[in-house]
Amino acid sequence: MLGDLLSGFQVVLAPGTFLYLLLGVVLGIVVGALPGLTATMAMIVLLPVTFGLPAIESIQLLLGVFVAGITAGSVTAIAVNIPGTPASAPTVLDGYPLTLQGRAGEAISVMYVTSMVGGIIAALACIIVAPQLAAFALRFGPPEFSLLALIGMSLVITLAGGALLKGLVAGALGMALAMVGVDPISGYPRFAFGSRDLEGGIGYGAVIIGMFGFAEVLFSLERAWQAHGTGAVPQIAGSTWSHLRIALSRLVELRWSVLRSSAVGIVIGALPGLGSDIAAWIGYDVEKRFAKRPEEFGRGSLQGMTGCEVANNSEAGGALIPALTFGIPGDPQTVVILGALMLHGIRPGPLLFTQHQEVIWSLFAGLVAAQATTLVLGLLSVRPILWLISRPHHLLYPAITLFCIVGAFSYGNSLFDVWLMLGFGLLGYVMRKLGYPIVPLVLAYILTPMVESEFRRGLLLHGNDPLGFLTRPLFVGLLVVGVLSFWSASALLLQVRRHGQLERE
Amino acid sequence: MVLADTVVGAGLVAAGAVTGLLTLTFPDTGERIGPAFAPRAVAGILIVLGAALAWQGLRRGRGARRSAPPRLHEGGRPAALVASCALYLWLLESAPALGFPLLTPPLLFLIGLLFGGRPTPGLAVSSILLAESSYLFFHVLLGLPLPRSAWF
Repeated sequence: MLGDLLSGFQVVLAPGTFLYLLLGVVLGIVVGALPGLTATMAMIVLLPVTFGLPAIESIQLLLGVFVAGITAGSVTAIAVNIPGTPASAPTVLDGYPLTLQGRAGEAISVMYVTSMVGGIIAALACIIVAPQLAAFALRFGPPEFSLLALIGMSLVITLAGGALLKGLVAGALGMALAMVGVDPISGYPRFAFGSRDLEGGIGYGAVIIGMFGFAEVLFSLERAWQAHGTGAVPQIAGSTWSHLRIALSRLVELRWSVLRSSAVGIVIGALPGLGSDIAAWIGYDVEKRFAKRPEEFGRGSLQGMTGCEVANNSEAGGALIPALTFGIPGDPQTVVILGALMLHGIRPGPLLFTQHQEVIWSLFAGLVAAQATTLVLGLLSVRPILWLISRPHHLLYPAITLFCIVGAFSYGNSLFDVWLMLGFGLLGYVMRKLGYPIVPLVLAYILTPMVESEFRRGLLLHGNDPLGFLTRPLFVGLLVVGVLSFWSASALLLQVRRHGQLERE
Repeated sequence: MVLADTVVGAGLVAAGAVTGLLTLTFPDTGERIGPAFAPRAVAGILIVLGAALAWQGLRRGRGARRSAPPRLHEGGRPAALVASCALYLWLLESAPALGFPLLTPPLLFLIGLLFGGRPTPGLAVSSILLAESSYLFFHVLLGLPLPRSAWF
């Protein structure tokens, strides 16, 4: 394993590849810090660029944006009380009070250092667990894969925020969309209405770019502050180096918080449907319970800020475990990474670890390298970023829209996919306006074909008797794990919602 | 958004019914679970959830008559953006002589205006530069076959 990881680092640190990681980190820092623009949106925008790149370079570019986008979202949360991404929303509770105390530089440095350590711990967890899990998953047959996809889908639909009924409706819509196209077993074209474009199904690119990219552009049109910038930003006293030294000494004090929050982030990430924003709230809540002085939370507690920051960064490593080993993405960012892999003809799942070893080990190495690069570039870019967010950025949105169009086109070299992207963007916008979560729709759309095709293949293996699945020990074991995951994730979510309710009160 | 829930619920019931009816035309492949099984299951789910949503909307509607009406004016600019993009795509298909290089700058200029930009030469120049550099990058460098113009 160590040899594989070292060869992964050799690939990633080669100048030609590292340049893409670096570019991704820079873009991630800028996009993450700009309120209203998310890491997912930046990754969507970059999808057409990955079309012309080799798979390894594409993944490094997206990993850079993924890691840096989530981390840098907290710069504005700390400095101007506006979270750059939903995952940095709890950071404002303690980050901004630190700025009001004149400690913005220290807070941002602590945020970057602890995030990096948490992210690397999660990356190591992913590196250790994912290959073992993939090797184990090679024993799975169609019934087990069908059940896994079903468990992932039900977790996502019920836990992905919003009211339960609306989550279920969104999931059902995703399932309905997945029915369009050729039947996986008989080859009969379903709901294609004679259209050759629809026979191949509704394009993956059109759905994810429309729902996560173009819908976000439409939603941004309503927020006037985005067009005009945030206005005045605080001045940061002291040098970057002095802030870094303080942050390193704070890291020693906060070591147990970092470890606890990393564990929280990894577990939340590995459970499909929860995502980095939920991880951040749970990380904050856990730290408050362990704090010696919980009364300081909400008034500028570094421990509180560390809890949410480390948890939301380590979520990435956790989320990649089910995504890479089983092909079950847990959050929008891993959906885009899987999309990029599929754009290069690479199918996520246990075979990824045997058939595309160079890609997978460079991905792991890139996950670690992206954390370290984000720390260095993030600390150096604090002042330029604060200047940038105070400027009007209406010029950005035409570029984002253009990249959505080109991105959708690049999936099938067809304007039909762009029309579909436009339609899904509109659907995503309307759904958000009416309070329907988008993630269940997208993930149900991705996982339903897997549930159906593997279930039917399983039936063919067991003489058309679904009860035959229960004679398989692995199937029964997975069923138990699925029920336990569902129960524990529901309990965690209930806790977060209760916490949110208390905060509002 | 109580009325919206009722409307969406009714729409889902209708969509589920149509989906179910369409599966009647699917061929019998002799399998116990053939190509119609999953679409019928999804149709059933759509009908049940749609009915539940519509019922919830109607039930809550009685207690929410005095709530604020939905702010429809907020959707004006997003609707304009969608319409602009739709017109752009329609022109790309129906007037292939114009192609991506000529049709994209006006679209980007319009989007800039929608996002609060002023109709200045700067916005026009940035729109042209962004469109043409993207065309060069994706079409010429990466080989993505974007719709060409008759003149470029």
